[in-house]
Amino acid sequence: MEQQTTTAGKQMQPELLQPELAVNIGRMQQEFQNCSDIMYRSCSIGGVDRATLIYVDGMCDTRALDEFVLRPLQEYLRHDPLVDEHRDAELQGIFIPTLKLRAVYDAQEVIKGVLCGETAVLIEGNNFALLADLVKLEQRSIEEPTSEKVVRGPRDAFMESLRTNTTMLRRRIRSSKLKLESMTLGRLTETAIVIGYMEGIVKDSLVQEVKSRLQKIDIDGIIHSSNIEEYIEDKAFSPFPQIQNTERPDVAVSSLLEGKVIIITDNTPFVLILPMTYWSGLQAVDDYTDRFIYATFVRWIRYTFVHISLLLPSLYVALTTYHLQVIPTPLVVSIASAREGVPLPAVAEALIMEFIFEGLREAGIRLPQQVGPAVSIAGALVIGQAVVAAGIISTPMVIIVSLTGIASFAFPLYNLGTAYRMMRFPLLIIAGILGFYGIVLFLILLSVHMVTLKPFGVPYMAPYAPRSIGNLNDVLVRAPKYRMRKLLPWLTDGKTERFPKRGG
Amino acid sequence: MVRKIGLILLVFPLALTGCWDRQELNDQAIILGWGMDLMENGSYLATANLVLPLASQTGGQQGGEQGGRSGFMTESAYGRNNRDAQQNMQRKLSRVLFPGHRRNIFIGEKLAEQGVFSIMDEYGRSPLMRPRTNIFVVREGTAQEAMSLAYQLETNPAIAVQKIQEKSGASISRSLLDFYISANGTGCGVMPALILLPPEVKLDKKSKNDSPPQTTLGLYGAAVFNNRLKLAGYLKFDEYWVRLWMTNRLSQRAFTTIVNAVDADQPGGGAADALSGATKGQTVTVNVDNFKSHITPGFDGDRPSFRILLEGKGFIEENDSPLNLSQPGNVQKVEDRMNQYLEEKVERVVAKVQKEFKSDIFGLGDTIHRRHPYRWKKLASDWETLFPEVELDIKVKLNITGTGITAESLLPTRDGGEK
Repeated sequence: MEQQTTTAGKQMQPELLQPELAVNIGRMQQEFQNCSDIMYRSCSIGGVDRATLIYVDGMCDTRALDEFVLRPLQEYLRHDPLVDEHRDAELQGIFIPTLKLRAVYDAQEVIKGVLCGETAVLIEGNNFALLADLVKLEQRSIEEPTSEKVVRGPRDAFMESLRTNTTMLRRRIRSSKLKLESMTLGRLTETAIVIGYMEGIVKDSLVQEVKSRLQKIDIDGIIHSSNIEEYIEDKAFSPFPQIQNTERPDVAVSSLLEGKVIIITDNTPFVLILPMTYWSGLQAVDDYTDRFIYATFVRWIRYTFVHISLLLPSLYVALTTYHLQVIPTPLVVSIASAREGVPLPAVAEALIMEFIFEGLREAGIRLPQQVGPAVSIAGALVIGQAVVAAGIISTPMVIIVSLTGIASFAFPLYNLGTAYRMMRFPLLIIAGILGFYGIVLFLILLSVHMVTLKPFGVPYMAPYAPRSIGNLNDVLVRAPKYRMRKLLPWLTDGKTERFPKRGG
Repeated sequence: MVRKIGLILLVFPLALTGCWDRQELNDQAIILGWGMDLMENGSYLATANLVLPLASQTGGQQGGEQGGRSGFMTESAYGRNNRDAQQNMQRKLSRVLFPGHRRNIFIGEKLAEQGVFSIMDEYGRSPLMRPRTNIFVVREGTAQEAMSLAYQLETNPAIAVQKIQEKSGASISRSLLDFYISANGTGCGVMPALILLPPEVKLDKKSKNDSPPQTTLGLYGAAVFNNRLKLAGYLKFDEYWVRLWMTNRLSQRAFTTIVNAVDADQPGGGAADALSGATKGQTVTVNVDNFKSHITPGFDGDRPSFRILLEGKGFIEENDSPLNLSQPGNVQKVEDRMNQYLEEKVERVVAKVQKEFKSDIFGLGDTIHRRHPYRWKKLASDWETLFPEVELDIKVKLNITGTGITAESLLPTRDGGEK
C-alpha cells in the first residue's frame, strides 16, 4: 500500500536494474506477485537462462513476439559468446528496424511499460531492459453511435480505444494545427487521456486552464470520462451540464474548429467538449446536414419542446387550479367534465403521473431485452388506459404527461434533457402552491442562474446573453454554412472569422 | 454567512405572497350566464346558468349513460344586489360559484325599464370580470325565462345567444364594454335584446322522432337606454344594423329591395325610372361585407349638423327581377336602387331614435367631441335636448363588385325581360 502511493506520487528516485538476470527477474517476480496474467518466457541456450521476456498475457501480439523478438534474440545469443556487457545500441541492432524498441534502466519504468502492454526483454549481463512495443489490445470494431443518432451524417462513433479515437480525429483534420497532448490520470488506473485543440484558433489561456485543472485531479482511478467532468466543472451543483459529451467524431471535430478543447479518455467512448454553451446542447447534427430552412424550422420545434418539457405540467396545474378564467370557455368545460370524479387535486395527479413516467423510463433503460415488451405493455396499459378508466387520473393529465415525456426526449444532448426533466418536479410543486406567480418566480431564478454560469470563462448563454449578433445565426436560425463565419468571441483571441467571405 | 442569511430573508417574502386562492376545478361551479330580474317587491332575483360537467362529457365511457341529461343547470336566489344574491345562491350550491367565465348577462325587461344603473357596477368591478362579456335585455320576459329554456344546437343557452349575436352582423361580441363606453360618451347605451320566439307555424309531433320547430331564444334587435340608463325602447332586428353600420361595427349583412320590372324594358334608364312605379316588382338581394361610415360634424352657427356617408362593398346574391345582370348598366341600376332604399331606411331609423328615444346611440356627439373638443364642452350638458333636433344629411354609397357566379340568370326567359 505504501509503495503504491509512492509510485503514483511525485517522481521518485530511479531504481536501477542489475546486470544479473536472476536478480532482475526476482525483482520483477516480487512486484508481480499473484498476478497470474504476467507471463515470463525464458530463452535458454545450453541450459543457461540467457534472457527473459516479460509481458501481460492478452495485451501483447504473441505471434509478432515470436517472430520479431524471440527468433532474432535466440539467433543472436546462440552465436554470441557470453559477454559481460553489451551496448544497448548493439543489441537493438539485432531486431528488425520497424520494431519499436527502447532501452530502459529503471526497474519502475519497466514495470510501468509491462503494465501498459509492452514486452520487456531482460538479457543476462545487461543492466537495462529492452521494451518492445508489441501492444495488441482486444477491441470491438467501430460501430454506429447509439445515443446520438442522425438521419444523414457519418456513422462512426468513438470507442473505448484511445488510439482509435485520435485516429478518427486525425483522419478528419489533416493539419499539424491539431494538437493532441497526452496525460495520465488516476493513481492506480494510470488512465491515458488526450487533450485536443486547434492551435491558432483556441485561446491559449483556455488550454492552460484545462491542463492545470486536470493536473489538480488526484484520484485513485478514472473509470469514465464523467469522473473528469465532475472534477473540472465550474459549478458541480448546477443542474446544467457545463461540459458537453459526445460519441460522434464529427461533433468533436466541429467543436475543435470552433476553438473548443476536447478531452479523450481511454476506455470511454464519450469525448468531453469544453467549454459548453447552452445552445450547443440544443444543436443536433441533423441541423447541419438537413437543408437550412428545414433545420431552422426543426430547431424552433425543438426550442418549443424544450419549454414544454419544463413547463407544461406546471402550466396545466396553475391554470386549472388558480387561473381558470384564462382558459377559453369551451376548453374549461371539457377539462371540467374530464376531471369530474377524479379524487386527487390536479397537482397530486400531475406528480403521480410524472413519477410513474420517470419510473417507466428508468426501468426501460436497464431492461433485459427479453422482458422489454412486458414493461412497455404494462406501462402503456397502466398509464394510458387503466388509470383513466378507473377514474383516478383525468384524461387531459395523461395527454399532458405523455406530451411532456416525449418533449423531454427532444434534447440532442441527453444530460441537458435530464436537467430539465428534474427541474420539472420542483416547478410542479411551486406551481401547485403559488400558481403562475410561482412559475414566473422559478423561471426568473432559473434565468439568473443560467446567465451566471460561466464554464471556463465563457458565458453559458452566449451568444444570446451576452449578445453577440454575428453568432446568433446558429442559435435563432441555422444559417447556411457560408454565412456561419464568425467564431464565438469568448473562445478565441484575435481570430474572429473561420473563413473568408464568399465571393470576396 | 451574512450573505446567505440575507439571501434566505430575501427569498422568504417571495413565498409569502402569491395566490393562496387555490381552488380545484371539481370544487367550482362555473357560471356561464348570469341573469337579473326585478321583483314586484323591489328585490332582485338573480339566476345563474351553471355548467354541469358530467353531462357535457362527450365520448368516453360514461358518454352514453349521461345522454339524457341537459348540459346546464340554472339556480336562482333573491338578493339586494348581485353579490348579495350570489351569496344567497351559494347556500344552495355544493361548489363555489366561479364568475370568471361569465360571458353573458341577461337583464329582465322590468329591470331595464326601471334602470340598470343600480346593478351594473359589479360587472366592471369584479377582478374576474371578462372584458368581452355580453349583456342582453330580455324583451317581454324575465331573465330567468330566457335562461331556463334549453337550446337545441348548443348544450347551453347562454353560449347560444352569444353565438347568435356574433353571427348576426356584429363580429365582436362585447356589448358590456360597449355599453360602458357609450354611457360615458354620449350618456346613453344600447344592448342587444333577446326574445322568446315561438315557432312561426305550430306543428304537432306526429311520431316520436319528429322535430318540428320549437319555442327558442332569438335576437329581437337592440334595447336603447336613455341618459338615466332606463329603457327607452327597442330597435327591431331590421333596424339595429343602422346603428352598427354608423358606428363601424357591422361586419356583414344582406339587403333585399324591390327592383321595378320597368327597368328591364328601358336599357339605360335612370334610377328615377326604377323607382317610378314600384307596383310590379321583384326582389334583388345584395350581400354587403365591407362597411365604412364617415360622420362629419358641421356647425350652422351654434347648431350642430352632420354629414353621414355610409359606404359598403358587396355582390348580388339573388336576383328575382327581370334585370339582365350581364349588362353593367343593370348592375348600376341595382346599385342606385339599393342606395336609395338604404338611405330611406336609415333616415327612418335615425328619425325614430331621435324623436322617440332621444338617445344618441350613434355616437354623433362623440364625433363632435373628437373634432371640436372645445365646442363639445359647451354642448355636452345639453346634448340630450339638442340631439333630437340635429339635422342630418345621410348618403349611402354601395359598391357592387360582383354578381355571384352567374351574370345572366340560368333561367331562360323572364316575364317582361329580354330574350
